[in-house]
Amino acid sequence: MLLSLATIILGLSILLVLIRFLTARTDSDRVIAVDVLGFQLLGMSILLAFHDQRPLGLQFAFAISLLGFFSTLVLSRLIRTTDSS
Amino acid sequence: MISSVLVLAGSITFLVASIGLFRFPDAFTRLHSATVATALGTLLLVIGAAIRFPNPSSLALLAATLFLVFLTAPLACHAITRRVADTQTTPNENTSPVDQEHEPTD
Repeated sequence: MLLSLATIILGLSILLVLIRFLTARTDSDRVIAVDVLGFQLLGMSILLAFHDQRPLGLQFAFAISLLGFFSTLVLSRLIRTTDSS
Repeated sequence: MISSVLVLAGSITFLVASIGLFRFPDAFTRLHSATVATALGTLLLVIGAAIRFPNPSSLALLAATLFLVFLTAPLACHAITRRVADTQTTPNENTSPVDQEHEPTD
């Protein structure tokens, strides 16, 4: 029961971040939204391990934590510094 | 039971983080929401999973995940902040001028 509630809340927050990604006005807001989205996918894979009763999802969480850092670094290099519009 | 409560608390923390992306006025404060709240939510979720899966391989994976997140989240936040500060972004007018006195150095 609590696990289902946690999954629903986390899915709702992922939906909110996706809406933020679509309605953001600047590039930096989109990069911040993708950064948060990576951490939320990490949490979602931990919840997957809870639902499956197997610790396989924890390995996904480890991989996502590494990928999220590199993707944020690369995306932050792509923010335009001269024209922010 | 206690692991479910911890996981629920972590999910609520993530929800607060994503609401903060809408509510904060400028990019610097949004970065505060994006980094601090997600690090806390990850900590709660990892502790909950460590109570639920107490075997050694899972504990090692969770410790490595937590170490990576706590090592790389401030680095990613700093990388984004440097680029945002390089743009012509004006901070919110409630930001104290003392915070902008020091010229940032690389």
